[in-house]
Amino acid sequence: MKWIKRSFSAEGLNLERLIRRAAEQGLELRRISRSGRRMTGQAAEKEIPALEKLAREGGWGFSIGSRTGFGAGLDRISSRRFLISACVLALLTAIAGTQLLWYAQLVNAGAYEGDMRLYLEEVGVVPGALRKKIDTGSLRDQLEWRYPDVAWIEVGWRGMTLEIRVFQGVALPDGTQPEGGYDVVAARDGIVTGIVTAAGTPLVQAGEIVRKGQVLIKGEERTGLEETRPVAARGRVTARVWDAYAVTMNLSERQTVYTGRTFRHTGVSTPWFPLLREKDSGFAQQDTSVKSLPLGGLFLPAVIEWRTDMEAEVRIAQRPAEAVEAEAGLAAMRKLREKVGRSDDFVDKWVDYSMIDSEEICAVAYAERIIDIAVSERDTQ
Amino acid sequence: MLESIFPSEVTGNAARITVTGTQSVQVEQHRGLVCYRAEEAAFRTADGMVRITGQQLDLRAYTAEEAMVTGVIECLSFSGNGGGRP
Repeated sequence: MKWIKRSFSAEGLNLERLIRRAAEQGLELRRISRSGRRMTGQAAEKEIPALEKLAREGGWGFSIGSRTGFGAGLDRISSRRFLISACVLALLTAIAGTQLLWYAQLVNAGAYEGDMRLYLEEVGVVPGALRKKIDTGSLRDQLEWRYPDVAWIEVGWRGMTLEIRVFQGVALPDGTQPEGGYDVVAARDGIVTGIVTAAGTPLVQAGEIVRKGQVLIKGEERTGLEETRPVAARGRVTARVWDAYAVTMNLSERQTVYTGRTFRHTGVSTPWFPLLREKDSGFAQQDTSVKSLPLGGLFLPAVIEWRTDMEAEVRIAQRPAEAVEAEAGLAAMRKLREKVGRSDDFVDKWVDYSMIDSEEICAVAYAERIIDIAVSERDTQ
Repeated sequence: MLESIFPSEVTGNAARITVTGTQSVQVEQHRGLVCYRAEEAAFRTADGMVRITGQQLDLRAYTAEEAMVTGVIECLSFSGNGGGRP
């Protein structure tokens, strides 16, 4: 093994000659260092005898040193055989340990924990079992089959620990009321279009007219031929319902008509008092338009005002009935949408008009919807 | 013919000397070690003597064809004509 080196030292005169002769014989010398008549270096261990022979023949003193580099490492290892063996054994033990089940951990098993541990022992899932012989999917199926009341079970590895996590779920609230059941009643008038009963006994069917407060699903269930038990009735009862909103509008309206007479006046005023007194137009009724111009800002807080009074008369005018109808109808439908809150579930909608004393038009907007009118009696109390 | 393809240091006898900083000198195709001390190392080559001076000089490797001198290199000089092996 040429890569196992050993140190040597040579002593004498003309050490260069020893180096040359060694090289001529194919010996490879390394790390040669010289100090006076002494030279140290390294050579392949198997070449040391040839080098030594060469030195002896030439009259140089020669001594063989210890192994260096990798060879020294081998020496150190061989001198610590017990330690190396222990390390190798520990490594092999660790590798072997990873192939085994160390612990089966049950999470949230609750009341099932004791029985589940017994079952795991029965099927061989115990500490020390080979991991590759434990099929987590199959074990999960077996456990779920064994405990049907459990919602689901997760089985998985976390390192060398087999973790079995049990999800027991949350049970629905028990509908049984010891002091008596609750009915489902109609939240408003309507015609029933469908009923889905989750708990209780239905009392209505599709097509029936129901009134607000009427019992739709009775809060009891039959448990035997003659026996019933009280329950909190639950269900969904859809019904056609109608909403309406009325708007009344007058056929006549007040209009302002200008006569064409105007009165113009220019004045100057301050925030505290008028500098030029305003003149009165003398019109019985008028609209006034004022334009103002500040004069000096904060230093001179005076304003010039140009006032124009336009004489006006208020007349009662009759509006076309068709226009009033259209306006009232639109207003009624808009208010109905605001009242209902949404309009995308309208099945039908329309507006009825009526004349009141030839002076007013009443528009009533109707909307038909199909909604769930079921409400628990408990919620209404 | 070969000389037209390969450089002369490959086909000829000329020594190839590689200096790396002031730390090492590699001498290839030398013809023998003439002198070696901690302050000096001299090699015979086909073109003459190659002398390396410095401090703490070591022969990191030495074979019949190649030598590596390490240490603090201070001077590299050539002298004389080439010759055979000493």
